[in-house]
Amino acid sequence: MLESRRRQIRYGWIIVGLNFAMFFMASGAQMAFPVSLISISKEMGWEISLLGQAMSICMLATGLSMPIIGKITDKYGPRIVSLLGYTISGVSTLLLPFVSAIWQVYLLYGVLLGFTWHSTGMVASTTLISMWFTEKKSLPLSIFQSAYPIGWFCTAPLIGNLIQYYGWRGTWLLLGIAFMLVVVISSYFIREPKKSYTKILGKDELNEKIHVRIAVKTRFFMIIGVIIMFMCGFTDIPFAQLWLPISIEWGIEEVIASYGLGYIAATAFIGTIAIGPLPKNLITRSHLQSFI
Amino acid sequence: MALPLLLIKSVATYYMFIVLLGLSFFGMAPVSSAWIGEVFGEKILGGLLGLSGFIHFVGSALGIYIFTIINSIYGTYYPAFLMSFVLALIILVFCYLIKSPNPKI
Repeated sequence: MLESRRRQIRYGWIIVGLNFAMFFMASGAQMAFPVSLISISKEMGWEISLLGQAMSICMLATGLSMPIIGKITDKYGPRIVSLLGYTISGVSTLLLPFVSAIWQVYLLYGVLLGFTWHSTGMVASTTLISMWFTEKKSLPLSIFQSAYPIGWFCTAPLIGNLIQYYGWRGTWLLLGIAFMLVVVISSYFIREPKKSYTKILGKDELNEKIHVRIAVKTRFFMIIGVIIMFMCGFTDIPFAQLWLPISIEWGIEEVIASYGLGYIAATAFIGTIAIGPLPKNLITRSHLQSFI
Repeated sequence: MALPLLLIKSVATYYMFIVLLGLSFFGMAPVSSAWIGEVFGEKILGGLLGLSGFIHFVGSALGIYIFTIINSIYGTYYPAFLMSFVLALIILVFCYLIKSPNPKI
């Protein structure tokens, strides 16, 4: 049994690597749009505000997708949901260079990419990785989820440079092909473990009885929810989204402020990776990190 | 702790704030995902992560909206920074209230 668990953990790291690659591509595709905004606007003659609406739709679709993808994941399993989600993200990225009307941008980037890029990674892939690791889930999950900030950090300058050489259509086509290649290769290796060794609440009999409605009523989940809503929602995200106007108020130039956003992503990657190997009792208190 | 840096307008505090904000920016996600997984198991993990993600996006939308409203009323983001600082202090208390349902976990 011990050898089988060891084998499971070894293959679990392959699962982490493949999901990292797919989530990296999905985050990159989502972040590539703001970088391409001016090029698309110039070529198509669309107002920036019109294209900005695609970003709003994307955010809205991302928020709405989370509980839906969560429910589907519990019903059909994380393997099929994650592969399907990344495939939809990849196809949307691949089709985006062929758009000729603004509604197509809203559909491909706003709705389809918005609905799948974040929830597939943060819900389906996270559940899949969690299945492969009985204990010490923090390290593999922090390595996997660091694909989000590192995808953000790497893509912005890369896409900016590629647009100079290939234009926005060529760049998105390259991005789409690379994304689909990663998904196709990963689909061959990704699978769910035969058995999960995690014991919920430390008791075997509860494994079959546990339900989302019971879990959300626990004091543990409620406090986690309050922290996520008011800490992440009211500090981290507003600072990132409003970074340029905040920086300008600080007296910082716009160009330097945009570099600043890249530095935030780079340090976010370091922070996410660093928290994984911490001992569990320290991780518990590492919620203090949010205080910063 | 980084938020008071916003009261001092200088390039040095700007970069210090970048580092501190960045280090704490995404750290909560893997910790909470792992912990929820270890406490409740994988059977309902998707649903719980989906819910926590939804809560996160609701909080983000509210946060951005309140920041912009404060800016349009006062012409500056400083009251919003103050609000974030006070919230951070309250949340710090909540961090100490978290107890895993299973003492072994």
